[in-house]
Amino acid sequence: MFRALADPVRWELVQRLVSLHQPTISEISSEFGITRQGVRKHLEVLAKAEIVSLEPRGREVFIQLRPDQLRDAHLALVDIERQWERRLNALKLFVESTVASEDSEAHQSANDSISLSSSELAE
Amino acid sequence: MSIPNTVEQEIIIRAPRTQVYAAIADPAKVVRWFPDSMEGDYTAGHQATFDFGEYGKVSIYVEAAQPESYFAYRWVSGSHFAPSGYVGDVLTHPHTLVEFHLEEIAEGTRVKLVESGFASLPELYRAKNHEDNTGGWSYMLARLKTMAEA
Repeated sequence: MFRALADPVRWELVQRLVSLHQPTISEISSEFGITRQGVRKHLEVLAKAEIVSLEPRGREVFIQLRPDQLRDAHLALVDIERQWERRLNALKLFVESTVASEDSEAHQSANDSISLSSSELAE
Repeated sequence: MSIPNTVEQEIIIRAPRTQVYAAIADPAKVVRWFPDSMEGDYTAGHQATFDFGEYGKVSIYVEAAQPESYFAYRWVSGSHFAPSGYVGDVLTHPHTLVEFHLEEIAEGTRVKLVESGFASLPELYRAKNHEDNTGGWSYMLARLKTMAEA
């Protein structure tokens, strides 16, 4: 699914489809300045990933965006973003509490406190 | 909106960059806030395995370690792509790249996290989303509680 969206033309196409109601391949073709065959190729990739469905009617093919897939992909990325937010908060809490406790212990046991790895300090 | 291939997060930590870098790159320190434990070689060009206890183990390949500004690894990312973890050769499996950029600022250190490469992954494990989200929360809250009480 992400792979299908990773192409810049397809991504633009999907963004445009959000604000169009069942456009035809011909309409998209003239708007994007790509041949109908080119548009169809991109749409077939999107259809395979279940991002759009294609509906032939007479001589035209109508394009229907399938929002569920996009919403799921978006939610997955939002979820991953939140996971990192939690992890970075845990990192912050750990580092800041370590700094605080080292500061308060510094005068009483300067030599004993666990130092940061000296190889890194030496860089 | 751009192609959904990347996730970014930033945080400001009130501590010198040396200490933030160590917390990320030192195997003894990273287990204080991220995995429960780890084994293997946590240096550039090598593989290690993060152990998240009941949430499984995840192999990582350390891409780069540049004290004190940059640390990066490749992994088979968490709950969405490997619901029960992944242990094995990261590089021969679809994976994402996790990068930590550390910048010195007046208040301390700005950490920018970038995870990229979702476009190269197979389908999401969508059915698992909600379950894992809840699992992730209670897991992290439990960790925070332990750390806060330590």
